[in-house]
Amino acid sequence: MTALLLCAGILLLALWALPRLYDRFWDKGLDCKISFTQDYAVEDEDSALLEVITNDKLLPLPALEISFHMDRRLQFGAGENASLSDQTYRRDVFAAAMRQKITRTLDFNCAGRGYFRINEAGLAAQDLFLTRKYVGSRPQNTEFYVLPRPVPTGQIQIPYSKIMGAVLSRKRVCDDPFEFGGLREYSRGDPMKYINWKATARAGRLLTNLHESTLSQQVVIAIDMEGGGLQGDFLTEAGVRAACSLAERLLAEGVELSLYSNGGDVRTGGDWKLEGVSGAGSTLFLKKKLACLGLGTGLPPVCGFLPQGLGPDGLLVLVSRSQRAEVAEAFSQAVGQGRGVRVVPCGAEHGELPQFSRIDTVWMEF
Amino acid sequence: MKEKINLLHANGRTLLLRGLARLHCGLLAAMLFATVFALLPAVSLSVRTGPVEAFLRGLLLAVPAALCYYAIKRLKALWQFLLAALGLCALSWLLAGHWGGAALMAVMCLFRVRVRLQEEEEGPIASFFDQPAYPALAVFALAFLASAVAGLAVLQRLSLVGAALYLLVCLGFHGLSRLDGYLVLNQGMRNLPARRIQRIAGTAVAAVVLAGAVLLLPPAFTSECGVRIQLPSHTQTGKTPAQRAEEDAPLRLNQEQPPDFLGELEGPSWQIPPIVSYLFFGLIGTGTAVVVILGVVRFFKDFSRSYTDSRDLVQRLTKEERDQSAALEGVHKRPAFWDRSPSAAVRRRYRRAVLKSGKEPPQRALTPAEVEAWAGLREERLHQLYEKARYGPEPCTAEEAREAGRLG
Repeated sequence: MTALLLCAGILLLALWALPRLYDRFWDKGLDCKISFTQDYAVEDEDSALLEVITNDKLLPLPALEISFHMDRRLQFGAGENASLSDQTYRRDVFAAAMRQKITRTLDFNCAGRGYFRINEAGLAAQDLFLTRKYVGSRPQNTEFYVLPRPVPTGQIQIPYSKIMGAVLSRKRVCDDPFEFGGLREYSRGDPMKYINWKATARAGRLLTNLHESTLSQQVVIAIDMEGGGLQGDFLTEAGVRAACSLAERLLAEGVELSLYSNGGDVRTGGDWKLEGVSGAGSTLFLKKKLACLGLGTGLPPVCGFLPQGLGPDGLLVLVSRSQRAEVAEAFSQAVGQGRGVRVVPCGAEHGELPQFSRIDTVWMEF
Repeated sequence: MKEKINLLHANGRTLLLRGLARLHCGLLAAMLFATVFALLPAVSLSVRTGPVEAFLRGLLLAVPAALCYYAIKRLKALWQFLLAALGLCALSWLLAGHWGGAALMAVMCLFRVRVRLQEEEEGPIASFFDQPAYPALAVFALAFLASAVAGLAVLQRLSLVGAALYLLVCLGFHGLSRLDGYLVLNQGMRNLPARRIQRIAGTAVAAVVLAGAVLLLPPAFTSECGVRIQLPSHTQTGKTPAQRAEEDAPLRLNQEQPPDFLGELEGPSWQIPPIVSYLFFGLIGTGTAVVVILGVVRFFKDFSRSYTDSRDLVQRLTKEERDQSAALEGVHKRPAFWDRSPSAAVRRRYRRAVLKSGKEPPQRALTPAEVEAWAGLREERLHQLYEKARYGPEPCTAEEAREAGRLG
């Protein structure tokens, strides 16, 4: 009888001690890393998210739940393991045995432009008999850009021609010191700073750098991010795509750009603006910046964000779905003595806008 | 095999749960019958069945209990079930060898009908017959008490063995039902590693049951069963202790005899030669040992290899990864338990103060100042003492440790 009581005591002690061990050590050596496999992708493309769980201890975790918030514009499968509200709350279950590393790849579709960041992942582990639940979190640091989808060439051609027509009419070509175009032999009068000394040493004669030219005129693009309703949001997003495609082509032509918007920067939380961008190499930077452009309702008028004193050589492009008269008037005032092109993303049918002498209006149907 | 399981509308895990639930019915019935058949001779009623036989035949009631479960679930009309109940009572009578089996089955059928009628109005109801419960161990405790009062060694042993078995059934059932509940709750979840969860948690449950069996069953079987309770009326007879000892002598002799379960049963006079028994148990023992060793080897081999399961790449941590992780852990390491220096005492005090203010552990990446801001701890002196203890070139003094104790 004594032996039986002793054995029963040992069993009870073991059953009592095991949960205490988990209380104390459940998160020892436990790590969770969430990271996007790419830095960026374009709208409608697929990408993937990596979840890596490390359990570096002798206690196995039969059910370990990892949860994190993610914007609903990143769509995982058919809404699998996610509850939807204004954000997606995603929950994945892992089973981590002792000293194991588990890597799971989750494919998702980039359904909308944006900047996405995961700051924290929640952990909920259960003990060996699934009786107790332990909750914790791990900081994360991963970000992802969904760049605006390019607008088809045929659709962008008309506004692009209008803008380029206005630009070329005031064309003054300058060298762009940041755009390397090739080498040529030194000739008297070339600035000393353009001599390529390495190439000179290799060739045995003086060689100077050739630079691509840039158009001296600066183009300012203003993007109105006032949303509202399904159609409003869709057209505003279409406007961002149009602005992105226009900017990309203008940069490729060597035009220096400045962009302003009334939508905030979702990455920094401040105002969104991009000043003095030039060169085709800046395209990715520009697109990433556009990915951070926030959409909203009740935003202040976009023309209030434009710089003062646009000269007679200035060209201002407004991309706005708004057809209100006050927007047109504010834009006319902002253009002043310069030139303006107004790009209006719209549906199949659209009304008439008040005409101003120095402003061209282009309708873009989406 | 899978097809047969499909016919029963259940997976292997659910079938095991159902089997354990039926075993719980069988064990309770067995203990009840064994107690009754052990106590009847004590009240001068002669019975042909011994308690061991009653116990073993009572276990067989698990079969009609299982049939009763399927009958109530499958038969659509109540009259069909009542007809089946008659058959089940007859079967129980045959298996138990007395009317008690039929009576118990009749009670079970009545409860099943009542639960079914309730379920039609209120939805699924968990029946007592479908889940072993720890309070039911009281049945075995009562049998033990009765055996101790009546001085029945055989019943005492049966109650101990039955209680150990019932405890194992409870442990197994509740462990598996939690696992089953978790998997059923999350069955709609994509990428759920059900097989691995089942493997880890199921192995843990099996290990606990196995450990319980190894720890409890051998002492239960080999227990001397000499516990006896003297009722107060016995002392009022005015007999001296020596007289009582004389009266108890036959009982003690009876208790000292080795347990002879087979002797309780009526059987042929020819007995199996001991060498055959040794050979049989030797083979069983060797086979079990081989299976256990192979299982353990396979278990650890499974955990040590890398493989792909659904979308998961499961890898064993390499030594480099473990070293790297250990180095990271070292940065945040708490003072060792045996470190009783003033600096360690200050650090412990500080940690306790932070946990008390913040309610939960802070993030590891935070500095002491950030931790205090997060936890809402405003003790400048404690902060200074902690910084000295943690980062200072000089260790803290005993006076500073006491000061930290007063602050924290």
